Amino acid sequence: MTANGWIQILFFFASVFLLAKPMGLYMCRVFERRKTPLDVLLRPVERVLYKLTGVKEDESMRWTEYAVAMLIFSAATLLFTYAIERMQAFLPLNPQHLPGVAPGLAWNTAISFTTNTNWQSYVPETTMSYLTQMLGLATHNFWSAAVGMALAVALIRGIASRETDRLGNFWVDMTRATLYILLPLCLVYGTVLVSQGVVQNLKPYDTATLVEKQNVTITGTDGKTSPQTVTTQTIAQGPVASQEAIKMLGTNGGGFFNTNSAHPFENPTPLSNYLQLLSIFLIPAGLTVTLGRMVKAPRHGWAVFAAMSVFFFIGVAASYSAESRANPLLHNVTTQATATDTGGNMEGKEVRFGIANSALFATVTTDASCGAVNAMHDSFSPLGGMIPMTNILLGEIVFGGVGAGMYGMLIFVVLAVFIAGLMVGRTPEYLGKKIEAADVQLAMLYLLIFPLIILCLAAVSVLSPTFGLSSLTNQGPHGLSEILYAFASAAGNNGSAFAGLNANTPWYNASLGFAMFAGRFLMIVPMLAIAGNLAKKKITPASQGTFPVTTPLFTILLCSVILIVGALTFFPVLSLGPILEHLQMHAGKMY
Amino acid sequence: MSDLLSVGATILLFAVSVIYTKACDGITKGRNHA
Repeated sequence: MTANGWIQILFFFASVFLLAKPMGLYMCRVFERRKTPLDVLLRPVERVLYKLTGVKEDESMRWTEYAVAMLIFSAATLLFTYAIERMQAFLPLNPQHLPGVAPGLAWNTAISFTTNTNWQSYVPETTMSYLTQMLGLATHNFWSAAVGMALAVALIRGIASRETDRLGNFWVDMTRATLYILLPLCLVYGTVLVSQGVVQNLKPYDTATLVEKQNVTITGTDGKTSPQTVTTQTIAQGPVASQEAIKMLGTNGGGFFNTNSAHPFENPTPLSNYLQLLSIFLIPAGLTVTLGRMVKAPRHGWAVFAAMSVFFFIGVAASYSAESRANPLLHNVTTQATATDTGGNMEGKEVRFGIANSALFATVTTDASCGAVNAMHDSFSPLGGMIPMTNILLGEIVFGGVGAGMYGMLIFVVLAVFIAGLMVGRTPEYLGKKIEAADVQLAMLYLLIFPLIILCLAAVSVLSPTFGLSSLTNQGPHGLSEILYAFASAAGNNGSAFAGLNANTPWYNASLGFAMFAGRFLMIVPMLAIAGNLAKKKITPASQGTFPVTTPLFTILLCSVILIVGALTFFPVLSLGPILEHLQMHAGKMY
Repeated sequence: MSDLLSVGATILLFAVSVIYTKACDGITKGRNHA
């Protein structure tokens, strides 16, 4: 680790801290439907949209209506994307004449983008046409992020309101999140990315003549190999900047190119890298302030921000430390960089970003449910790779995905105040709302679904040599890590991957598709039920026995609950994967 | 996987989610536990 690396990490976090308040206050105005500076431009557009779609903006919904509206919207947009993928060969903006996407892969991808996961079992530049990227996938980047924000705000309303069964209007929340927050930010952000060199065009791919011819061996469909001389290289193009902006801001993470944010057309400069990191945390960090303002306890929002920050610093310190150490089995690689040696573990990392920015990116992208990468997580050291995996397994509540991180964290808050209530022998209360049996049952349902999906599907894959293990290119504990990471990433709606697992097979397309679906919708429903249940309750005035949720003690309790529930659930499987791999690496064995 | 299977699986999953929503509503009304 270097001082330079830490200065960059601290500068990044200071930027997040400084932007959280203005962003949070602005989002508060948007969702409380107060005046914003953009009203002059956007309010007429908003009114027209409601008129065209028949949405009554003053009509508030019960939690079940809110949930069903969200499910119908997601189902319709999923099928829309599926249809575009399948028919892209007959649609315009396909200069490479790419064929329609195969049904299994198209279904997996449609679920992936609908659920804000952006898991990609394909190489985008050789699979998806420009129209599919723009109309099928980028639109979902907006919609799924807006859905996440709407859901988080619905839960906050449930906490803040009293004696009502209404949580707001899903269609209005979605529209305002897209119109007032995501679109304006992406317009500015996309333009800045273009200034940094991110491409934005609809041209056919370029062909460049290689300076030095390459002799390669080609394996034909019949399995026979033949030598071939390669003299040209295809350089993929496309409307990248517009997709890149929402990919990061909406914590979607699906790359326009296969190498994602390690590709020079997606992430060309140190400034673009810094902005991409910042944009992952911008809205989730702001939502902590929105929470504080909407529940009229700003210090509660900051207490949640503090808990998230604790996990962020633990993660980034562990990841940076692990990646700064050289692989003990590689001789003559030092920890400290010299003029002739980069030092540390540089496998799978871009030289232009180095170890500090790769470790930071891996931590941030998995703290949130983003999944974009600027380095290959599979090439991280065993413990370095365990950090992104642990971040996902904790539920991605460290600032988290847009909206999803906030409501995930609030479920842990409900659990923390419940435990605090049990410890002092009083009925647990959260901001004046009594936490009762139904709330805890629903919170436990939310928390148990996640490990159930990951562990069951990973176990089936590990036990099946034909459809599970046959996709692996690495054996032993590293192979287990690859399978575990895939299901954690899918159920956590993250989308990043440990390479080395070929997921474009019938089993993995179907099982990962189900994991993404269940990890999104089967967790959202109990969360909304908690929101609806809390909204109905009276607000009890605070007394001496009330556990305060604005103090450092609350932050410590919250962190402890997350660690106990989240980490211990997965400790056994982590010990068989990355921890065992780390021990075996030091014993002289690699996978 | 064919198109029919993909579309059918999607509709089935979302239909199950709606039923699941009703079940969670039951929990909030205290119907799903003794």
